[in-house]
Amino acid sequence: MSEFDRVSGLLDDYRAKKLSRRGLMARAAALGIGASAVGSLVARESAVAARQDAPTPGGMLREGYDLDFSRMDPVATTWYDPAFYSLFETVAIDSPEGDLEPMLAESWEISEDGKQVTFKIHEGAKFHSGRAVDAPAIKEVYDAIKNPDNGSPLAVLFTPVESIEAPDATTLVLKMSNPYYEVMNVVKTGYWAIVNIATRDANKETFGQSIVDGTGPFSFKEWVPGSHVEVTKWAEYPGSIVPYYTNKGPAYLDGIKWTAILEGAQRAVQIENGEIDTLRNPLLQDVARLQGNPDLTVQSYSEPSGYIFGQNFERTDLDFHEVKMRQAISHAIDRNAIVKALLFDLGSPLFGPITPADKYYDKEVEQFNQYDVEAAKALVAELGWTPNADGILEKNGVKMAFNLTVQDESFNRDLGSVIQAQLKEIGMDVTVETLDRGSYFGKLSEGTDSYLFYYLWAVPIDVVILFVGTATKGAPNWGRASVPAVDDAIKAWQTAGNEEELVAAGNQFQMSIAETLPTIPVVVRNTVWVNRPNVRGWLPHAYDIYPHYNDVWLAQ
Amino acid sequence: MSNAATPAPFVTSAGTGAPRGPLRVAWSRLSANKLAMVGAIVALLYIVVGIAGPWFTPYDYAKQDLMHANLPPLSPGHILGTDQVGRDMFSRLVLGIRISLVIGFGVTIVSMVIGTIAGSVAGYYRGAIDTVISGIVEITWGFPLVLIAVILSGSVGRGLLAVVLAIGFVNWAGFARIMRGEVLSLREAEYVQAARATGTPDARILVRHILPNAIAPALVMGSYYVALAIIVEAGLSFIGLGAQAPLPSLGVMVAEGRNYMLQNHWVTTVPGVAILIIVLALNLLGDGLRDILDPRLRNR
Amino acid sequence: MGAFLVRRGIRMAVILLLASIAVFYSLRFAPGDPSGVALSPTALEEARDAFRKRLGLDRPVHEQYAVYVSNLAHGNLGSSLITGKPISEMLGYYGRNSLVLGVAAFALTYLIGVPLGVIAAAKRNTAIDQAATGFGIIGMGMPNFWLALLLIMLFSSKLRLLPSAGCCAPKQLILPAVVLAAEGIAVTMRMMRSSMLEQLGQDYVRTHRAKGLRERTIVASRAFRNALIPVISLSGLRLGWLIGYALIVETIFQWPGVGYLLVDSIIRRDYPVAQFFSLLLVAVVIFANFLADLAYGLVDPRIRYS
Repeated sequence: MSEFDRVSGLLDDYRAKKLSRRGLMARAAALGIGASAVGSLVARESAVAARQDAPTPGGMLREGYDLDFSRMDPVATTWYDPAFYSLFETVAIDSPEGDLEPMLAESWEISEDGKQVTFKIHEGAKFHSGRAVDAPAIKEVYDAIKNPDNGSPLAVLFTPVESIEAPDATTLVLKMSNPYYEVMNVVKTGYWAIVNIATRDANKETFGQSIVDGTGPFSFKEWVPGSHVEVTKWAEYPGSIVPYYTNKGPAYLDGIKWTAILEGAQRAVQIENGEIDTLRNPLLQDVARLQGNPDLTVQSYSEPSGYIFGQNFERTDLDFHEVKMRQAISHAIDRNAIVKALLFDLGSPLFGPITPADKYYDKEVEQFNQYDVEAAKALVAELGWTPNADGILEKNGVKMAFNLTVQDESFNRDLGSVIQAQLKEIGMDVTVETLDRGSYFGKLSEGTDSYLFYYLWAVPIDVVILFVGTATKGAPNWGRASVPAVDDAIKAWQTAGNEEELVAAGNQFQMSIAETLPTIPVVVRNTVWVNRPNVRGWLPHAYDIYPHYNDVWLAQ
Repeated sequence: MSNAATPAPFVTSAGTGAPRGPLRVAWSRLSANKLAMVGAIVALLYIVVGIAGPWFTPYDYAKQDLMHANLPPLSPGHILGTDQVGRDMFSRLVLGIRISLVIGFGVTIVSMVIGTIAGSVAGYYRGAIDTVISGIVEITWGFPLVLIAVILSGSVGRGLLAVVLAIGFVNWAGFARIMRGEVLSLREAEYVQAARATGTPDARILVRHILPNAIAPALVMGSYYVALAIIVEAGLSFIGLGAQAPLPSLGVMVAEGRNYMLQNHWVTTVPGVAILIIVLALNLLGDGLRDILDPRLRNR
Repeated sequence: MGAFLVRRGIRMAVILLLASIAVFYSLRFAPGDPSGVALSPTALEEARDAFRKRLGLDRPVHEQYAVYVSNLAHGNLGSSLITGKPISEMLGYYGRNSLVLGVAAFALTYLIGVPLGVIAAAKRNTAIDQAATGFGIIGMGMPNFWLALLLIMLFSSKLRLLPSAGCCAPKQLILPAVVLAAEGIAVTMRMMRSSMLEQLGQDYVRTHRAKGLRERTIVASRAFRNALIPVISLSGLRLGWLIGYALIVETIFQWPGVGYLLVDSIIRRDYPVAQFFSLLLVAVVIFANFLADLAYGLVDPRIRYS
C-alpha cells in the first residue's frame, strides 16, 4: 500500500514536471521498482498529462491541518506550520530530488576548510512591506536568531556561527568557529525563514499574531488560534528563482485558508465532503478508505520524524545506564507489528535514529534492535535480573517496575500501551503515565523513569543530537543519557567540513545510537496528503515537510 | 460535558413515616411501577456484571494481539470483536462496566457526603454560615471541572481516584441545594423544636432528628447522579482526563474508539449503547423512587 | 427592590473576588507551567528558566496575584502567553461565537423541552409520555461527542445535507446547536414533566376540577405557570453551561468558542487566558442565577425581593 503511494506520488511529481525522468527512475529504483515497470507507467501517464489544462488564476485553497497553529514569527515560534511556506522564504530550498536549490540566495560557496559560507543574495526580492531583501536584512534575521533574548527554538544549531557579515547588498558571509558544513541544512529550515526584523522590532507584541512581514507569495490576513489561518495573494510578489517551480511569478491562488481539524475522524469526513480541498494527515486508519475514493488523490511519504523511547540513565537501580538493559528493552519491542497495527503499514520500523527515507540513512543500523524476545531475556539475565513468582524481573530486591510518560494524544496513548504490553513479555512492569501538554515537558525536565517522544525536523540528525548528547542533559536530553561514543559522533557531525565528512559522521552517529541506545528508536510514520481533483500543481515531496504554494492552482 | 442536575421538586416525606416496614411499603410501590422495575432489574444486572463479570471474561482486559486488531463483532474467539490494539472488546466491556459503576457510585457518594453536610449545616444554622456556603455553591457551579481534574491528576495521580474526586467536587452543589431546602423546613418542625428546648446538642439534632427525614430526596437524586457521573466521565475521557489506560471505563472506550469510527464503528457503538442503557435504567429507577417518595404524585 | 439589588450586587462582587483567588491558586497548583507549551520542545533548560523569570512565574504566588489584580484594576486583561493574542480581542471573537451557539442551543432546549414535558405530563403513562421520556433519556444518555459524530456520519457523510463543521454560517450552526441542546432538552423535559405532575396533584387543581372547569384550561393556565418556576430557576445555570462548557461540541464542529478556549488554556497552562475565562464563566453563572431569581418574580408575583 505504502509502496503504491510512493510510486503514485513520484508519478504526480513527474506529471507536473517537478521531477525529471531521470529523477523519477532513480527514486523508483530506490523503492525497488524496475525501470521497465516505471517506463510503462510513465507511458500511461503521458495520456493523463495531455489532459491537463493550463493553470488558471483565482480561487481560495482550503487546507485541513492536523495541528493547532503556532505564532507566525520564525525567530521565536514553537513550530512552523504550512502557512509559513506561503508567507516566508529561506535562502535555499530542497528540491523534490533532495538537492539544495536557490531561493533567496542565488548561490553559495563553502570555503575549503568548511568554516565560511558566502551567499550571493538574489536582487529583487521584497518584503510585503516593500523593503528590499538584501544581505543586511538577512543578517538582521540571523543575528536575531543568535540573540538568546529572542529564544529562537533551535538557536543551538547556530552556535558554531561566530559572525554574520554583509559587506555589500548581495553578499552575506557566515563565519564559523569550526568547520560546519551542516550549516546549509540549518538555514534551509523554517526557523531560519527570512522576516523583516525592522517590522518585528516595531511590533514586538503583535508580530507573528496579527502582523507578519515576510517575502512569500502570500500576505497575512488572519489567525484565530485553535481555528484557522488565512492568507491572501500578494499581487506585488516579485517572483521566485527557485528552479523547480514552474510558476516564477505571483501565485495563482487568491488566497489560502488552513483549518485546524483536531478531531481525527473529521479530517477524512471533510475531504470526502469537499469541505476542504486538501488535507494533511487524515488518521492513518482512514487512509485506505480515502484511497478507495476515486475523487481523491492520496500521497504518502516517510516523514523526517520518529517516535523515540528514552530511559532515565539516573535510574541506576533499574540498570537503565547499562547498555545491555537498553538493548534488552529494544529487542522486546516488535516494531513490525506496531507498523502494521498502529500505522496501518504507513510507516517503517526504526532501528536507528532516523527514517530510512532520509538521504543520510545508513542501512547498517538494521543489524541492531531486531525483535528478539529470547535475546532480550538473555540480556537482562546477564545483568542479574530474574523473574519473580509474578513473572516480574527482580534484582537485589528491586522490582523492574517503572513509569512511561507520554503526552496525551490518541496515537501516543496507543503506542504507550503497546510498549507496555510488549515489555511485560520480558517481565517489565510498565505504568503508562499520560500527561497533558501543560505538564508533560515539565515532568520530562524534572526527570521521569522513561518517556515517549515524537520529533519532526527536516534534518532529523540535527534534533536527535539534542535528545542524546551530554551537552543538553536535562532538557531536551530528558533521559540524562551520556554515552561517549555518541558524543564523539555528534562532535564529528558538528565539525564536518564537507559533504563526505558529513555523510561519514552521519553514519557514525546512526551506528552509535543503534548500538548504544541513548534513546530507543521505535517507528516513523508517514505524512499523508489528500487532494480533491480540482487541486493542481500541489506537490508535496519527501524532502520538505510541507509543499510550497507557488505552483498550486484550482481547476474550475 | 455538563453537570446540571435533574432537580425535580421534592416534597418532604417527613411525618409520613409508617410505623412499621417502610421498606416493604416502598418495595410494594416500586414493584407496582413496571418501568421502575425494569430500571431496577437492569441496574442490578449491571452491578452483578460489574462485580462478578471480570472473573469470568475470556481474556485479560489488557492482553493485546496486534495481528488481530480491529476485528468486528462475532469474529472467531472474540464475540464483540477487538479494539485498535487487538484487545478483546467483550472482556473490556465487562471491566468497563465495573469501572464506570465505580465512578458513578464513587462520585455520588463523594458529592452526597459533601453536599449533605454543607447543605444541612447551611439550612440549619442559616445566617452567615448559609451565606458563605451558598456563595461556595455558586462558585462551584461555575468552576471549570477540567481545572479541578487537572489539579487532582497532579496531586493524587492520574486515575480513578482523581476522576471520582474531580466530578464529586463539582457535583456536590446539587445535593447541598436540596438538603438545605429540606433542613430549612424541617428545623421548624415541632419535634425538632422540642428537642432543641430540652437542650439536645445541635449535631445530635441534625444527625438523629433531621437527616433521617430529610435524606430521601437526596437518595433519589443519587440515582440520577450515578448516571450523570458516568456521562461526565465520558466527557472527561474525550479530553484525556478520564480513567487511565489500559483501564477501560465505558467512557474511555467510546472516547478512544471514536478515532476508529469510520472503519470499525463497533468499538464505539458497543460501549456507547452500554452507557445509554445504564443511564436509561438509572433514570427509570430514579423516577420510580421519586414517585414513591412524593405523596402528591402518588395520590394521583 | 433597590436595597435588594445593592445587596445582591455586593454579594456577587465578593463571590467573584473569592473565585478569582480560587482560580489563580488552582492554576499555580496544577502540575507544569506555561513554559512547557509556550516554548519549543527543544528549548534548553536555561531558556525555560529565563521565560519563567521574565513572566514573574518564579515569584511567590501571592505576589503574582497582587500583580494580576493591579493589572486588572488598570483594565489590562493581558494576553496569551502562547499565541500572544490580547485577551480583549479573544473575548470579542470567541465570546461572540459562544453567545451565538449558546443562545441557539438555549432556545432549542426550552422550545422543545418545555412543550414535550407538558405533553408528557398531560398524557401521563400513555405511549406518548413514554415516547417523550425515552427520547429525552437518549439525549441525556449518549456521551455528546458520540452523538455529535453519529450525526456527522448521518447528515454530513451519508445524506450530505449539512456541513460537518465550521463557523459561522447558519447551516453550520445546526448540528452543534442540536448536540449542545440534546442533554438540556432531556433535563428540561423531565423536569417540566414532574413539575407539571406535581402541580396537577395540588389541591387547587382538584378544586378547579370539582368545579367542572375543563382540564385543558387548567393545564394551560395556572398549573403551567407554577410548574415553570423550577424550570426557570435552573435556566440561568443552563445558559451559563451552554456558553462556557461547550468544549466538546466546539472542538468537534470546529466552532471557535469560549468553551474550547477555556479548556485548551487550562490544558496548556496559559495562565492569563485560563484565569480570565474561568472567572468569566463563574461571573456568567452568578449573574444568570441572579437573573433567574428576578424572572421568578415575573412568573410568580407572590415572590418578594427580600
